[in-house]
Amino acid sequence: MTTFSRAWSGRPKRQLRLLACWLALALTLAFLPEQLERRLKDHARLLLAPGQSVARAALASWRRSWRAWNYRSDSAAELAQLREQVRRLDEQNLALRLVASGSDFDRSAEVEQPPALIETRAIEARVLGEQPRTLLERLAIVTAKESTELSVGSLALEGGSVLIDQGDNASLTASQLALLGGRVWGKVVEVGPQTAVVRRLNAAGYRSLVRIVHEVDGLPRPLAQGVLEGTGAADCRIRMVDATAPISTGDLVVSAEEPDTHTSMLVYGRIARAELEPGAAHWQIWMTPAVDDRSPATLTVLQPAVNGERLAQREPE
Amino acid sequence: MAKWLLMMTGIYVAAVLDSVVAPALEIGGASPDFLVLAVVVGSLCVHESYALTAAGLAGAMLDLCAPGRIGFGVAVCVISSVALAAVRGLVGRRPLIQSLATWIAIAVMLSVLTAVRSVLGNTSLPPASYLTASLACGLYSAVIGLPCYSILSRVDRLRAAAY
Repeated sequence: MTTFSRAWSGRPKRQLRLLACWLALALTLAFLPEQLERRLKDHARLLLAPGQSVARAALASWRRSWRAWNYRSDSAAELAQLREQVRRLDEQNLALRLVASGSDFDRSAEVEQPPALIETRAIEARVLGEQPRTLLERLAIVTAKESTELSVGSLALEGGSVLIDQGDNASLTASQLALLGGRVWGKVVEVGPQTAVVRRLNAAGYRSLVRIVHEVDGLPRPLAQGVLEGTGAADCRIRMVDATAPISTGDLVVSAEEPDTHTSMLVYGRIARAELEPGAAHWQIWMTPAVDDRSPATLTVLQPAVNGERLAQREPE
Repeated sequence: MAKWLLMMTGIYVAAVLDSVVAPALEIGGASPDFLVLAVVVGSLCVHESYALTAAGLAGAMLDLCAPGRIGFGVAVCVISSVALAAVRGLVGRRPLIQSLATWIAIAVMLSVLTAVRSVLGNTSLPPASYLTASLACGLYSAVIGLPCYSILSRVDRLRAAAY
Protein backbone atom coordinates (compact mmCIF):
# COMPACT_ATOMS: atom_id res chain seq x y z
CA MET A 1 0.00 0.00 0.00
CA THR A 2 2.88 2.30 0.89
CA THR A 3 4.46 1.56 -2.47
CA PHE A 4 1.21 2.27 -4.24
CA SER A 5 0.68 5.66 -2.51
CA ARG A 6 4.34 6.59 -3.02
CA ALA A 7 4.03 5.72 -6.70
CA TRP A 8 0.92 7.80 -7.03
CA SER A 9 2.07 10.77 -4.96
CA GLY A 10 4.05 12.14 -7.87
CA ARG A 11 1.45 11.53 -10.55
CA PRO A 12 0.34 14.56 -12.49
CA LYS A 13 -3.18 15.68 -11.82
CA ARG A 14 -3.92 15.12 -15.49
CA GLN A 15 -3.70 11.38 -14.96
CA LEU A 16 -6.08 11.49 -12.06
CA ARG A 17 -8.48 13.61 -14.02
CA LEU A 18 -8.30 11.09 -16.87
CA LEU A 19 -8.99 8.25 -14.48
CA ALA A 20 -11.95 10.11 -13.06
CA CYS A 21 -13.27 10.71 -16.57
CA TRP A 22 -13.04 7.03 -17.44
CA LEU A 23 -14.73 5.99 -14.23
CA ALA A 24 -17.49 8.50 -14.88
CA LEU A 25 -17.90 7.10 -18.39
CA ALA A 26 -18.02 3.56 -16.99
CA LEU A 27 -20.73 4.63 -14.57
CA THR A 28 -22.66 6.31 -17.36
CA LEU A 29 -22.39 3.22 -19.53
CA ALA A 30 -23.59 1.05 -16.67
CA PHE A 31 -26.80 3.09 -16.44
CA LEU A 32 -27.45 3.38 -20.19
CA PRO A 33 -30.91 2.35 -21.34
CA GLU A 34 -31.01 -1.22 -22.54
CA GLN A 35 -32.03 -0.24 -26.08
CA LEU A 36 -29.10 2.14 -26.47
CA GLU A 37 -26.77 -0.46 -25.01
CA ARG A 38 -27.97 -3.02 -27.58
CA ARG A 39 -27.44 -0.53 -30.38
CA LEU A 40 -23.89 0.16 -29.18
CA LYS A 41 -23.18 -3.56 -29.14
CA ASP A 42 -24.58 -3.92 -32.67
CA HIS A 43 -22.27 -1.13 -33.87
CA ALA A 44 -19.31 -2.78 -32.18
CA ARG A 45 -20.21 -6.06 -33.86
CA LEU A 46 -20.38 -4.35 -37.26
CA LEU A 47 -17.07 -2.64 -36.60
CA LEU A 48 -15.38 -5.94 -35.78
CA ALA A 49 -16.95 -7.92 -38.64
CA PRO A 50 -14.34 -7.13 -41.37
CA GLY A 51 -11.46 -7.95 -39.05
CA GLN A 52 -13.18 -11.12 -37.93
CA SER A 53 -13.73 -12.29 -41.50
CA VAL A 54 -10.04 -11.68 -42.29
CA ALA A 55 -9.01 -13.51 -39.11
CA ARG A 56 -11.35 -16.42 -39.90
CA ALA A 57 -9.92 -16.71 -43.42
CA ALA A 58 -6.37 -16.61 -42.05
CA LEU A 59 -7.24 -19.22 -39.44
CA ALA A 60 -8.86 -21.49 -42.03
CA SER A 61 -5.83 -21.12 -44.30
CA TRP A 62 -3.50 -21.94 -41.43
CA ARG A 63 -5.60 -24.99 -40.54
CA ARG A 64 -5.46 -26.17 -44.16
CA SER A 65 -1.69 -25.74 -44.23
CA TRP A 66 -1.37 -27.58 -40.96
CA ARG A 67 -3.51 -30.45 -42.24
CA ALA A 68 -1.49 -30.54 -45.49
CA TRP A 69 1.76 -30.59 -43.52
CA ASN A 70 0.43 -33.42 -41.32
CA TYR A 71 -0.67 -35.30 -44.42
CA ARG A 72 2.79 -34.85 -45.95
CA SER A 73 4.48 -36.15 -42.82
CA ASP A 74 2.06 -39.12 -42.78
CA SER A 75 2.88 -39.79 -46.43
CA ALA A 76 6.59 -39.61 -45.68
CA ALA A 77 6.17 -42.14 -42.89
CA GLU A 78 4.16 -44.39 -45.21
CA LEU A 79 6.82 -44.07 -47.91
CA ALA A 80 9.55 -45.02 -45.44
CA GLN A 81 7.46 -48.01 -44.36
CA LEU A 82 6.97 -49.11 -47.97
CA ARG A 83 10.68 -48.70 -48.69
CA GLU A 84 11.44 -50.87 -45.68
CA GLN A 85 8.94 -53.43 -46.98
CA VAL A 86 10.61 -53.41 -50.41
CA ARG A 87 13.99 -53.89 -48.77
CA ARG A 88 12.66 -56.86 -46.78
CA LEU A 89 11.13 -58.37 -49.92
CA ASP A 90 14.44 -57.93 -51.76
CA GLU A 91 16.16 -59.77 -48.95
CA GLN A 92 13.58 -62.55 -49.11
CA ASN A 93 14.05 -62.81 -52.88
CA LEU A 94 17.77 -63.07 -52.39
CA ALA A 95 17.28 -65.77 -49.76
CA LEU A 96 14.96 -67.64 -52.12
CA ARG A 97 17.54 -67.48 -54.89
CA LEU A 98 20.16 -68.80 -52.51
CA VAL A 99 17.90 -71.67 -51.47
CA ALA A 100 17.04 -72.32 -55.08
CA SER A 101 20.62 -72.54 -56.18
CA GLY A 102 21.37 -74.69 -53.15
CA SER A 103 24.58 -72.84 -52.45
CA ASP A 104 25.51 -71.20 -49.21
CA PHE A 105 27.85 -68.50 -50.49
CA ASP A 106 27.29 -65.05 -49.01
CA ARG A 107 25.50 -62.14 -50.61
CA SER A 108 28.54 -60.13 -51.49
CA ALA A 109 29.87 -63.12 -53.40
CA GLU A 110 26.64 -63.29 -55.35
CA VAL A 111 26.71 -59.58 -56.13
CA GLU A 112 30.23 -59.79 -57.49
CA GLN A 113 29.56 -62.98 -59.43
CA PRO A 114 30.53 -62.72 -63.10
CA PRO A 115 28.01 -63.68 -65.78
CA ALA A 116 27.40 -67.43 -65.87
CA LEU A 117 29.15 -69.39 -68.59
CA ILE A 118 26.15 -71.57 -69.18
CA GLU A 119 22.77 -69.91 -69.40
CA THR A 120 19.36 -71.38 -70.04
CA ARG A 121 17.46 -70.51 -73.19
CA ALA A 122 13.73 -70.97 -73.46
CA ILE A 123 12.53 -72.24 -76.82
CA GLU A 124 8.87 -71.91 -77.61
CA ALA A 125 7.48 -74.84 -79.54
CA ARG A 126 4.01 -75.54 -80.91
CA VAL A 127 2.41 -78.85 -80.12
CA LEU A 128 1.45 -80.61 -83.35
CA GLY A 129 -1.92 -82.26 -83.53
CA GLU A 130 -2.96 -85.26 -85.59
CA GLN A 131 -3.50 -83.47 -88.92
CA PRO A 132 -0.25 -81.48 -89.01
CA ARG A 133 1.57 -84.64 -87.96
CA THR A 134 0.09 -86.62 -90.83
CA LEU A 135 1.02 -83.84 -93.27
CA LEU A 136 4.59 -83.75 -92.01
CA GLU A 137 4.85 -87.51 -92.20
CA ARG A 138 3.69 -87.34 -95.80
CA LEU A 139 6.30 -84.71 -96.59
CA ALA A 140 8.91 -86.86 -94.89
CA ILE A 141 9.75 -84.09 -92.49
CA VAL A 142 9.03 -86.09 -89.41
CA THR A 143 12.16 -88.19 -89.23
CA ALA A 144 14.15 -89.06 -86.27
CA LYS A 145 17.90 -89.06 -86.02
CA GLU A 146 19.75 -91.87 -87.68
CA SER A 147 20.76 -93.29 -84.37
CA THR A 148 17.18 -93.65 -83.27
CA GLU A 149 16.33 -95.53 -86.42
CA LEU A 150 13.03 -93.75 -86.79
CA SER A 151 11.65 -93.07 -90.20
CA VAL A 152 8.45 -91.85 -91.87
CA GLY A 153 5.58 -93.93 -90.67
CA SER A 154 7.47 -95.29 -87.73
CA LEU A 155 6.47 -92.42 -85.47
CA ALA A 156 3.97 -93.82 -83.05
CA LEU A 157 3.40 -91.54 -80.08
CA GLU A 158 2.73 -93.25 -76.82
CA GLY A 159 -0.10 -92.06 -74.61
CA GLY A 160 0.97 -88.93 -72.73
CA SER A 161 3.54 -87.85 -75.32
CA VAL A 162 3.25 -85.02 -77.83
CA LEU A 163 5.09 -83.93 -80.94
CA ILE A 164 6.47 -80.38 -81.02
CA ASP A 165 7.58 -78.36 -84.05
CA GLN A 166 11.17 -77.79 -82.89
CA GLY A 167 13.92 -80.33 -83.02
CA ASP A 168 17.51 -80.52 -84.08
CA ASN A 169 17.03 -77.24 -85.94
CA ALA A 170 16.71 -75.56 -82.50
CA SER A 171 19.49 -77.72 -81.04
CA LEU A 172 17.05 -79.61 -78.82
CA THR A 173 18.39 -82.74 -77.19
CA ALA A 174 16.79 -85.53 -75.22
CA SER A 175 16.15 -85.02 -71.49
CA GLN A 176 15.57 -81.29 -71.79
CA LEU A 177 12.64 -80.13 -69.70
CA ALA A 178 9.45 -78.84 -71.31
CA LEU A 179 7.35 -76.36 -69.36
CA LEU A 180 3.77 -75.27 -69.47
CA GLY A 181 2.98 -72.00 -67.73
CA GLY A 182 6.28 -72.11 -65.85
CA ARG A 183 5.64 -75.63 -64.50
CA VAL A 184 7.22 -78.86 -65.64
CA TRP A 185 5.04 -80.59 -68.21
CA GLY A 186 7.46 -83.25 -69.37
CA LYS A 187 10.78 -84.04 -70.97
CA VAL A 188 12.11 -84.25 -74.53
CA VAL A 189 12.66 -87.93 -75.32
CA GLU A 190 13.17 -88.10 -79.08
CA VAL A 191 14.60 -85.40 -81.37
CA GLY A 192 14.24 -85.26 -85.14
CA PRO A 193 15.59 -82.64 -87.57
CA GLN A 194 12.49 -80.40 -87.31
CA THR A 195 10.45 -82.02 -84.57
CA ALA A 196 10.78 -83.63 -81.18
CA VAL A 197 8.76 -85.89 -78.94
CA VAL A 198 7.99 -84.70 -75.42
CA ARG A 199 6.83 -87.16 -72.79
CA ARG A 200 4.43 -85.95 -70.15
CA LEU A 201 5.63 -86.30 -66.56
CA ASN A 202 2.92 -88.78 -65.57
CA ALA A 203 3.35 -90.89 -68.72
CA ALA A 204 4.68 -94.38 -68.23
CA GLY A 205 8.45 -94.49 -68.54
CA TYR A 206 9.03 -90.90 -67.45
CA ARG A 207 11.84 -90.62 -64.91
CA SER A 208 13.42 -87.58 -63.40
CA LEU A 209 15.39 -86.59 -60.33
CA VAL A 210 13.31 -84.39 -58.03
CA ARG A 211 13.65 -82.60 -54.75
CA ILE A 212 10.95 -82.38 -52.08
CA VAL A 213 10.77 -79.08 -50.25
CA HIS A 214 8.66 -77.86 -47.34
CA GLU A 215 7.58 -74.21 -47.24
CA VAL A 216 8.33 -72.43 -43.94
CA ASP A 217 7.25 -68.76 -43.75
CA GLY A 218 7.14 -68.62 -47.52
CA LEU A 219 10.70 -69.94 -47.87
CA PRO A 220 11.33 -73.42 -49.32
CA ARG A 221 13.30 -75.81 -47.06
CA PRO A 222 14.74 -78.83 -48.91
CA LEU A 223 13.79 -82.14 -47.31
CA ALA A 224 14.96 -84.91 -49.57
CA GLN A 225 15.68 -86.05 -53.11
CA GLY A 226 13.95 -88.82 -54.99
CA VAL A 227 13.20 -90.22 -58.40
CA LEU A 228 9.93 -89.24 -59.99
CA GLU A 229 8.34 -91.88 -62.21
CA GLY A 230 5.36 -91.59 -64.49
CA THR A 231 2.91 -94.43 -64.04
CA GLY A 232 0.41 -93.65 -66.79
CA ALA A 233 -2.11 -92.68 -64.10
CA ALA A 234 -2.98 -89.14 -63.05
CA ASP A 235 -0.51 -89.12 -60.14
CA CYS A 236 3.23 -89.81 -60.37
CA ARG A 237 5.26 -91.97 -58.01
CA ILE A 238 8.33 -90.69 -56.21
CA ARG A 239 10.78 -93.38 -55.21
CA MET A 240 14.04 -93.59 -53.32
CA VAL A 241 13.11 -90.96 -50.76
CA ASP A 242 14.85 -91.76 -47.51
CA ALA A 243 12.55 -92.86 -44.69
CA THR A 244 14.17 -90.42 -42.29
CA ALA A 245 12.98 -87.38 -44.31
CA PRO A 246 10.01 -85.59 -42.65
CA ILE A 247 7.71 -85.79 -45.67
CA SER A 248 4.11 -84.65 -45.39
CA THR A 249 1.18 -84.18 -47.71
CA GLY A 250 1.23 -80.86 -49.54
CA ASP A 251 5.01 -80.57 -49.72
CA LEU A 252 6.31 -79.16 -52.97
CA VAL A 253 8.13 -81.30 -55.54
CA VAL A 254 10.66 -79.37 -57.59
CA SER A 255 13.35 -80.22 -60.09
CA ALA A 256 16.70 -81.25 -58.67
CA GLU A 257 18.99 -80.28 -61.48
CA GLU A 258 22.48 -78.91 -61.05
CA PRO A 259 22.43 -75.88 -58.68
CA ASP A 260 23.86 -73.40 -61.16
CA THR A 261 21.42 -74.09 -63.93
CA HIS A 262 18.20 -72.13 -64.16
CA THR A 263 16.18 -75.31 -64.27
CA SER A 264 16.46 -75.81 -60.53
CA MET A 265 13.35 -75.24 -58.40
CA LEU A 266 10.97 -75.76 -61.29
CA VAL A 267 7.73 -77.04 -59.85
CA TYR A 268 6.49 -80.52 -60.69
CA GLY A 269 3.58 -80.67 -58.28
CA ARG A 270 2.57 -81.32 -54.69
CA ILE A 271 2.62 -84.52 -52.68
CA ALA A 272 -0.83 -86.07 -52.61
CA ARG A 273 -0.07 -89.13 -50.51
CA ALA A 274 2.95 -90.32 -48.56
CA GLU A 275 3.17 -93.70 -46.87
CA LEU A 276 5.92 -95.28 -44.86
CA GLU A 277 5.60 -98.97 -44.14
CA PRO A 278 7.06 -100.23 -40.87
CA GLY A 279 10.72 -101.04 -41.30
CA ALA A 280 10.84 -99.68 -44.87
CA ALA A 281 13.92 -97.76 -45.98
CA HIS A 282 12.04 -95.49 -48.39
CA TRP A 283 8.79 -93.60 -48.55
CA GLN A 284 5.96 -94.51 -50.91
CA ILE A 285 4.98 -91.15 -52.33
CA TRP A 286 2.40 -90.07 -54.90
CA MET A 287 2.49 -86.63 -56.41
CA THR A 288 -0.24 -84.67 -58.20
CA PRO A 289 1.28 -82.77 -61.16
CA ALA A 290 1.05 -78.98 -61.12
CA VAL A 291 -0.09 -78.99 -64.77
CA ASP A 292 -3.59 -80.14 -65.69
CA ASP A 293 -4.53 -83.02 -67.99
CA ARG A 294 -5.41 -80.89 -71.02
CA SER A 295 -3.23 -81.18 -74.07
CA PRO A 296 -1.12 -78.03 -74.38
CA ALA A 297 -0.99 -75.79 -77.47
CA THR A 298 2.61 -74.74 -76.89
CA LEU A 299 5.45 -75.87 -74.68
CA THR A 300 8.62 -74.12 -73.61
CA VAL A 301 11.75 -76.22 -73.82
CA LEU A 302 14.61 -75.20 -71.57
CA GLN A 303 17.96 -75.55 -73.19
CA PRO A 304 21.42 -74.86 -71.76
CA ALA A 305 23.58 -72.65 -73.95
CA VAL A 306 26.98 -70.99 -73.71
CA ASN A 307 26.72 -67.39 -72.54
CA GLY A 308 27.74 -65.14 -75.45
CA GLU A 309 28.56 -62.29 -73.08
CA ARG A 310 31.20 -64.42 -71.35
CA LEU A 311 32.74 -65.43 -74.65
CA ALA A 312 32.81 -61.78 -75.72
CA GLN A 313 34.69 -60.92 -72.52
CA ARG A 314 37.38 -63.48 -73.28
CA GLU A 315 37.98 -62.45 -76.88
CA PRO A 316 40.17 -59.29 -76.27
CA GLU A 317 42.62 -61.33 -74.24
CA MET B 1 -1.18 10.85 -33.87
CA ALA B 2 0.67 7.75 -35.02
CA LYS B 3 0.74 6.47 -31.44
CA TRP B 4 -3.01 6.89 -31.07
CA LEU B 5 -3.57 5.15 -34.37
CA LEU B 6 -1.28 2.33 -33.31
CA MET B 7 -3.12 2.04 -30.02
CA MET B 8 -6.54 1.90 -31.68
CA THR B 9 -5.31 -0.68 -34.16
CA GLY B 10 -3.84 -2.75 -31.33
CA ILE B 11 -7.14 -2.78 -29.47
CA TYR B 12 -9.06 -3.65 -32.62
CA VAL B 13 -6.70 -6.52 -33.40
CA ALA B 14 -6.90 -7.74 -29.79
CA ALA B 15 -10.73 -7.69 -29.97
CA VAL B 16 -10.68 -9.63 -33.25
CA LEU B 17 -8.22 -12.16 -31.86
CA ASP B 18 -10.38 -12.50 -28.75
CA SER B 19 -13.46 -13.36 -30.77
CA VAL B 20 -11.91 -15.56 -33.49
CA VAL B 21 -8.50 -16.92 -32.53
CA ALA B 22 -8.89 -17.37 -28.75
CA PRO B 23 -11.55 -20.13 -29.08
CA ALA B 24 -9.23 -21.98 -31.49
CA LEU B 25 -6.39 -21.83 -28.95
CA GLU B 26 -8.45 -23.35 -26.14
CA ILE B 27 -6.57 -25.91 -24.05
CA GLY B 28 -8.41 -27.79 -21.32
CA GLY B 29 -11.23 -25.23 -21.26
CA ALA B 30 -8.85 -22.25 -20.87
CA SER B 31 -8.21 -19.76 -23.63
CA PRO B 32 -6.18 -16.56 -23.63
CA ASP B 33 -7.85 -13.15 -23.23
CA PHE B 34 -6.13 -10.84 -25.71
CA LEU B 35 -7.98 -7.64 -24.73
CA VAL B 36 -7.11 -7.96 -21.05
CA LEU B 37 -3.57 -8.93 -22.06
CA ALA B 38 -3.36 -5.75 -24.15
CA VAL B 39 -4.43 -3.70 -21.11
CA VAL B 40 -1.78 -5.29 -18.90
CA VAL B 41 1.05 -5.13 -21.47
CA GLY B 42 0.14 -1.50 -22.21
CA SER B 43 0.11 -0.60 -18.53
CA LEU B 44 3.48 -2.23 -17.87
CA CYS B 45 5.30 -1.08 -20.99
CA VAL B 46 3.68 2.04 -22.49
CA HIS B 47 3.56 5.63 -21.23
CA GLU B 48 0.92 6.06 -18.51
CA SER B 49 -1.36 8.48 -20.35
CA TYR B 50 -1.57 6.25 -23.40
CA ALA B 51 -1.89 3.17 -21.23
CA LEU B 52 -4.85 4.58 -19.33
CA THR B 53 -6.70 5.61 -22.49
CA ALA B 54 -5.92 2.28 -24.10
CA ALA B 55 -7.18 0.47 -20.99
CA GLY B 56 -10.44 2.47 -21.10
CA LEU B 57 -10.98 1.71 -24.79
CA ALA B 58 -10.08 -1.96 -24.34
CA GLY B 59 -12.46 -2.16 -21.37
CA ALA B 60 -15.22 -0.61 -23.48
CA MET B 61 -14.56 -3.12 -26.24
CA LEU B 62 -14.55 -5.93 -23.64
CA ASP B 63 -17.96 -4.77 -22.43
CA LEU B 64 -19.37 -4.44 -25.94
CA CYS B 65 -18.21 -7.91 -27.00
CA ALA B 66 -19.42 -9.67 -23.86
CA PRO B 67 -23.02 -10.39 -22.88
CA GLY B 68 -24.62 -8.39 -20.05
CA ARG B 69 -24.37 -4.80 -18.85
CA ILE B 70 -21.60 -2.55 -20.09
CA GLY B 71 -19.42 -0.18 -18.13
CA PHE B 72 -17.90 -2.55 -15.59
CA GLY B 73 -15.20 -3.67 -17.99
CA VAL B 74 -14.13 -0.04 -18.44
CA ALA B 75 -13.97 0.50 -14.70
CA VAL B 76 -12.02 -2.70 -14.03
CA CYS B 77 -9.58 -2.03 -16.85
CA VAL B 78 -8.79 1.60 -15.96
CA ILE B 79 -8.39 0.84 -12.26
CA SER B 80 -6.14 -2.13 -13.10
CA SER B 81 -4.13 0.02 -15.47
CA VAL B 82 -3.55 2.63 -12.78
CA ALA B 83 -2.62 -0.05 -10.28
CA LEU B 84 -0.21 -1.73 -12.71
CA ALA B 85 1.33 1.60 -13.62
CA ALA B 86 1.92 2.16 -9.90
CA VAL B 87 3.84 -1.10 -9.51
CA ARG B 88 5.61 -0.76 -12.83
CA GLY B 89 8.79 0.39 -11.15
CA LEU B 90 8.84 -2.69 -8.97
CA VAL B 91 8.26 -5.10 -11.83
CA GLY B 92 10.92 -3.47 -14.00
CA ARG B 93 11.77 -4.66 -17.50
CA ARG B 94 12.36 -8.33 -16.81
CA PRO B 95 10.09 -10.36 -19.06
CA LEU B 96 9.65 -13.24 -16.62
CA ILE B 97 8.65 -10.96 -13.75
CA GLN B 98 6.38 -9.02 -16.10
CA SER B 99 4.72 -12.29 -17.16
CA LEU B 100 4.23 -13.29 -13.55
CA ALA B 101 2.63 -9.89 -12.84
CA THR B 102 0.48 -10.35 -15.94
CA TRP B 103 -0.77 -13.71 -14.66
CA ILE B 104 -1.79 -12.24 -11.33
CA ALA B 105 -3.29 -9.10 -12.87
CA ILE B 106 -5.36 -10.95 -15.48
CA ALA B 107 -6.55 -13.51 -12.95
CA VAL B 108 -7.68 -10.72 -10.60
CA MET B 109 -9.29 -8.66 -13.37
CA LEU B 110 -11.24 -11.58 -14.80
CA SER B 111 -12.27 -12.77 -11.33
CA VAL B 112 -13.60 -9.31 -10.46
CA LEU B 113 -15.39 -8.96 -13.81
CA THR B 114 -17.02 -12.39 -13.50
CA ALA B 115 -17.92 -11.71 -9.89
CA VAL B 116 -19.63 -8.47 -10.89
CA ARG B 117 -21.48 -10.21 -13.71
CA SER B 118 -22.43 -12.98 -11.31
CA VAL B 119 -23.85 -10.42 -8.88
CA LEU B 120 -25.77 -8.77 -11.75
CA GLY B 121 -27.14 -12.15 -12.78
CA ASN B 122 -25.36 -12.28 -16.15
CA THR B 123 -23.59 -15.53 -15.27
CA SER B 124 -24.37 -18.38 -12.89
CA LEU B 125 -20.88 -19.80 -12.43
CA PRO B 126 -19.94 -20.75 -8.84
CA PRO B 127 -17.02 -18.71 -7.41
CA ALA B 128 -14.63 -21.70 -7.30
CA SER B 129 -15.27 -22.38 -10.95
CA TYR B 130 -14.69 -18.85 -12.21
CA LEU B 131 -11.69 -18.34 -9.97
CA THR B 132 -10.06 -21.47 -11.42
CA ALA B 133 -10.98 -20.39 -14.94
CA SER B 134 -9.53 -16.91 -14.30
CA LEU B 135 -6.27 -18.37 -13.00
CA ALA B 136 -5.97 -20.70 -16.02
CA CYS B 137 -6.84 -17.92 -18.44
CA GLY B 138 -4.35 -15.60 -16.72
CA LEU B 139 -1.59 -18.18 -16.96
CA TYR B 140 -2.30 -18.85 -20.63
CA SER B 141 -2.36 -15.12 -21.43
CA ALA B 142 0.85 -14.56 -19.45
CA VAL B 143 2.58 -17.29 -21.47
CA ILE B 144 1.47 -15.57 -24.67
CA GLY B 145 2.59 -12.22 -23.21
CA LEU B 146 6.12 -13.47 -22.48
CA PRO B 147 7.41 -13.08 -26.07
CA CYS B 148 5.75 -9.65 -26.25
CA TYR B 149 7.67 -8.54 -23.15
CA SER B 150 10.89 -9.98 -24.55
CA ILE B 151 10.48 -8.08 -27.81
CA LEU B 152 9.56 -4.82 -26.05
CA SER B 153 12.52 -5.20 -23.69
CA ARG B 154 14.85 -5.79 -26.66
CA VAL B 155 13.44 -2.69 -28.41
CA ASP B 156 13.99 -0.62 -25.26
CA ARG B 157 17.59 -1.78 -25.00
CA LEU B 158 18.23 -0.97 -28.66
CA ARG B 159 16.67 2.44 -28.21
CA ALA B 160 18.78 3.11 -25.13
CA ALA B 161 21.90 2.02 -27.01
CA ALA B 162 21.02 4.33 -29.91
CA TYR B 163 20.72 7.32 -27.55
